[in-house]
Amino acid sequence: MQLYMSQLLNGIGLGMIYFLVAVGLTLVFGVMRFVNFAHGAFYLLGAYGTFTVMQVTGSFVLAVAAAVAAVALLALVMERAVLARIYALAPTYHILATFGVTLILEEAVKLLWSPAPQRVATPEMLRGLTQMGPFAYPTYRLTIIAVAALCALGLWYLLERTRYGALVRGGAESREVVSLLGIDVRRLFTVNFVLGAALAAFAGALVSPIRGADPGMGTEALAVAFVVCVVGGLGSFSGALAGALAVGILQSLATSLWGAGAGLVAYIAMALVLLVRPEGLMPRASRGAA
Amino acid sequence: MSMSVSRRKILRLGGAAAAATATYGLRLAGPAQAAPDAFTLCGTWEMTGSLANTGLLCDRGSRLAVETLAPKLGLKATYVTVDTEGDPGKAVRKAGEQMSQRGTRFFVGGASSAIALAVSKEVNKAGGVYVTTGGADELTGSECTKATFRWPVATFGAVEQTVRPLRQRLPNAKRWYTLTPKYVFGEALLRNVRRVLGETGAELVGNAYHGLGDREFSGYLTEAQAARPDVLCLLSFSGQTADTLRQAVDFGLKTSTTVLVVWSAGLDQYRAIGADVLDGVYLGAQYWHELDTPQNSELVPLFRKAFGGPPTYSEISGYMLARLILEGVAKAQSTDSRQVIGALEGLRYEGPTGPEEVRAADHQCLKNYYLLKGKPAKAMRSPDDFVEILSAGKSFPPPAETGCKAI
Amino acid sequence: MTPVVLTYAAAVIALPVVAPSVPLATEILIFALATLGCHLLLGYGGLLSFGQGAFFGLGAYAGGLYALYGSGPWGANAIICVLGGTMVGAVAAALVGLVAIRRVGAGNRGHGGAVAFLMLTFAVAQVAYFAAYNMTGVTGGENGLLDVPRPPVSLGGAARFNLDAPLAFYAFVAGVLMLAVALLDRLVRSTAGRALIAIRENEGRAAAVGYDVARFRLSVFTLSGGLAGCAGALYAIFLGLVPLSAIDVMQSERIVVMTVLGGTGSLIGALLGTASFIMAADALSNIWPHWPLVLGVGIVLIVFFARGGLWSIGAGLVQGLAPGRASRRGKPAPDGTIGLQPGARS
Repeated sequence: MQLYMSQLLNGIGLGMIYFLVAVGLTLVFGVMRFVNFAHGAFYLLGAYGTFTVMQVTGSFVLAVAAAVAAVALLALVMERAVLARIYALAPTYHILATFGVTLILEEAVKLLWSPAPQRVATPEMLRGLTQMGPFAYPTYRLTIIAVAALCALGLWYLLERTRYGALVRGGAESREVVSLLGIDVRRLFTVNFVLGAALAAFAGALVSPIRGADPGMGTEALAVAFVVCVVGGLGSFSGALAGALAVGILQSLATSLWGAGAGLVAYIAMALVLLVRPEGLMPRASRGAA
Repeated sequence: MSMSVSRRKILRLGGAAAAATATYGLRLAGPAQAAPDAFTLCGTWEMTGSLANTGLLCDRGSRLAVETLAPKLGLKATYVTVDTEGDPGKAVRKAGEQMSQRGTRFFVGGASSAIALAVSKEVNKAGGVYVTTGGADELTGSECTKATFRWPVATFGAVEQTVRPLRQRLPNAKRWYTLTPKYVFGEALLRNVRRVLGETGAELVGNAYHGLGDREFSGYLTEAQAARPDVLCLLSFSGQTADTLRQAVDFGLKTSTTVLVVWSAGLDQYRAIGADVLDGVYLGAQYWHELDTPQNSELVPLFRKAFGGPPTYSEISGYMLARLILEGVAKAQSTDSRQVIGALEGLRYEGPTGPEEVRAADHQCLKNYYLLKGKPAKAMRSPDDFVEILSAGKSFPPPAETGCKAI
Repeated sequence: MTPVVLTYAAAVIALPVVAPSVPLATEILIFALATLGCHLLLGYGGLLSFGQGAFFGLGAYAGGLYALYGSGPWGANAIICVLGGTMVGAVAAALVGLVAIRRVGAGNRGHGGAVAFLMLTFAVAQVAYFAAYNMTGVTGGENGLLDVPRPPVSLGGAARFNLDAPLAFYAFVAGVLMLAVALLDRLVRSTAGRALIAIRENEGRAAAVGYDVARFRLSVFTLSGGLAGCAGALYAIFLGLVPLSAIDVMQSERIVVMTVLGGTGSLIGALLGTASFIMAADALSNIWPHWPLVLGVGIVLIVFFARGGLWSIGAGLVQGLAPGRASRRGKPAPDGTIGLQPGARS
C-alpha cells in the first residue's frame, strides 16, 4: 500500500512537470491554432540556463529566474521574427518551421555547452527527505509539486478571472470578435506565446537538479507534452492539467506493474483516447460552429 | 617476389623477439629493415548524435595514438575520422566506402555496441581489421569474427571484479536489488550478477527493468526501496547511471543501502555526477588515470600536454584501439590484414592497466577491471580525485564458454 | 516517357558518377522511394505523417527476415524480398489509416484533423519502435538483425543475377525506383490523381462533387506505406543488417525533412530532396559536427521563401533562364498548401 502511495506521489510530481510543459503548448494551440514543435527547446534552454547561471552565481532561485527571463526574451524574438511570418500558412508549415527552429536551438546547445550532460546541484536547503507520517519523500520533489500547483492556480486565475484570460478564451473562439472589440490580436498572440515558453522554461529549470541537463531532453519533453495534450484535449487548460496528471500517475504505477513497458504506457493511452474520444478527456467548452 | 620473402623472414625474427621479451619492444623494426607501406587507420566514431560526447573523446584519443606512436614504431600511418552519425546503417555504409574506394583496411571504433557489431561484420566481410571498444559480449562471443578485436573487459569480468570483491568486503550485505536497462547488454550483466550472487551465498531480492530512454527513475527507485535491499546494484551505463544515482541519493537510498555501479564510464561521467553524489558509491571501471603502472605514468603526461587534463576512459580507450592496430602492423612488418591479425593474436604488451594480452581464441584483450569507491569531498586532493582504487583483477570466461566459433 | 520519368532516368544514370560513391548513390535511391511515399501523402493527400519510419522499419525487418530464413522455391529472391517489404508496409499503413484517416475528417474543424493525424502517426512510430526494441528474439533488439544475406534476383528457372557487386545492386535498386516512378507518374496524371488534387485544394468542394475523400486518402496512405516498406526491404539487403535505427522516430523525421526539402510540386522533388539531404549530410558531417544547425536554418528559410522546396527553386531558375517556355506554375494556395501543379505537363 505504501508502495502505491509513493508511486502516486511520484506520478503527481511527474504530472505537474508535464503540466507546466504541456500548458504552454495547449495555450498556443488553443488561441493561435498553432502547433509549436519548438516548445521542447524552451524546456531544454530553461535547464541549460539554470545550469550556467547557477555556476556563475551559485544561487538556484536566481538561476531559475534568469533562465526563465532569458527564454521568455528568446521566445519574444522568435515570435516576432519567425512565427509572425507564418501564422497565415497551413499547419504543416507551422510544424516544419518550428521543427527547423528546434534543430537550430538543440544544435546551438551542443555547440555552446558540449554534447555531454551537465549537472545542477539540488539547492542546499531542499536536500534530504521530509518525513510524512509513515513514509519519507524527497524534499525537493515535494517542493516541485507545491510550486507547480501554485503555478497552476495562478494560471487558472489568470485565464478565468482576468481580462487577459477572457481575451485568450475569446480569441480561441473567434479572432474576429476579439478584433472587433478593438483588441490587438497580434499582441495577444505574442503575450500568449511568451507565457507558454516561460512556463516550459520554468519546468526545465525545476527538473534540472533531478535529471541534469542534456541536449536530448527537449525532444523528450515535447513528445510527452503532445501525449498530454491529446489525452487531455488540445487547447484546454483543465485538459492539460488532467491529462498531465493522468499520464504521470499512469506511468508511475506502470513502473510497479510493467517495468520496461512504462515508456509505452503513455503512447498506448494516447492512441486509445484518439480512437475512443478524439476530442480528448476534457475538451474546451464547445466552440460553437467555429 | 623477393621483397615479400624477405619481409616474411623479418616477420619471423620480429615475432620471435617480441615473444621472447614479452613486452612491446617492437622498435626492433629498425630503419635498416624495409618498413611496411604507408597505411590509413580509420576511426568510425559517433561524432554527432546522442553518443557524440563519448565519440569525440574516443576520436581524439585514437588520433593522438597515431600521431605520437606511429613515428616511434617506424610506421607511416595517417588517421581519418568517419562520423557514424550514431546510426549503424550509416556506419556500415561509410566503413564500406572506406574499404572499397580508399582501400582502407584498419578500423577502430564502436562507442555504441550496436554500431560495433555492425561495423565488425562489415569489416570482416571485406577482409580488414577492426579493434573496438564496444561493450556487447557478442563482439568476442557468439558474433565474433576473424577481423574483430576488443580492448575493454566484457560483462563477465565487470561483474566478477565488482560483485565478488564487494561480497567479500561486506559479507553481511546479502540482499541485493538490481536496476537493469532492458536490452541485450543489461540482460548479460544481470545474468552474471545472478550467477555470482548465487555462488557467494547472497540473494537477488528483486530486479526492475527500465527502458533505454528513461530519465525519470522515481518509480523504479520506489520499487527498490520497498524491497529493503542491502545493496542497490545499477546495471545501466552513461547518462542513465548519472540520473539514477542522483535520484537514488534524493530518495535517501544511499544512506539506507550500499550502491554499486557495475559499469561506470570514468572521469567524464564522474564530473557530470559530482563528488557529493559519488561519495561512498562503489564503481566498476575499465580505467582510472591514477593507476600506478609504467605505461600509465607515460600516458597521463602525454594527455595532459595534449588536452590539458588527465585522460578519461574514453580517450584512453580510443588511444589503445589505435595503438593495437599500430602494434599489429609493426609486429607483422606488413599491412596485410591476415598478417596483422596473426601478429595481434597472442600479443603481449605493457598497457595502461599493466601487462595486457590479446587472447588468440576469441580476440579479447585480457586486462584488469577495477572496483573503485567514491571519496568524500574533503578527502579529494584535486578536483579530479573522485575515487580510491579498492581492487583490481582479470576475469574472463574460458574460450570454450564464450560462444565464439568463427576464429 | 514523360519529363518526370525522363528526369529520373537521367538522374539514375548520372548519380553513380556524380555521387562520391556507389553505396551513397544506392542509399539515395532507396530513401528516394520512401520520400516518394511521403511526397504523395503530403502533396496529394494533404497529410503530414510522422510515422513513415515505422513502415520503413517494418519493411526492413520483413525483408531482412525473409533474406535470413526464406527457403524453398520462394526463398532467396530479391524480387520477393522487395515485394514482401512493400506488402508489409502497405498493410500496416492501411490498418493505421483505417483509424487515423477517419479522424482527419471527424475533427477537421480548425485544422484539428491534420494535427490529430500527425499525432496518431507519431504515436504509431513510437509504438513500432518500442515493439522492435523489445522483441529481441525477432528483431535482435538494440543490436539489430545481423548477417542478413543479399539474395540474388531470380526470374524462374536458371536466370539468376547475383547482386553482390555494388553496381549490380545499384542497378537493381534503380530498376525498382524507375518502376515506382513510372507507376506514380501515371497515377498522378490519371483521373484519380486529379481527384486527389481537387481534394487537397478544397476538401469541402470535392466532397460535395461526390468524391469519397476518406477513401482516396486511405489509398494514398496505403501506397505511401508500401513505398516506405519497399525502401526498407532494400535497405536491409543493402546494409546486410537491420539496425534498430531503421525504425526509430528519427527515421520518420528524416523522411519528412527530405520530402519538404525537395518540395511537393513535382515527383522530381522527392529525388532532389533526398539526394541533396543525404549528400549534404555526408559531406557536412565530416567537416562540422554541428551541421544540423545548417539544416535547421535551411528548413526555416524554405518555409519562409520557397515553400515549393528545391524543386520550385530549380523550376524558377529554369523559367528565368528560358522566359519563352512558361510552365504551368501555380501560385501558392492561400492556405499555404503547396501550390505547384504536379508534373511539368509541357
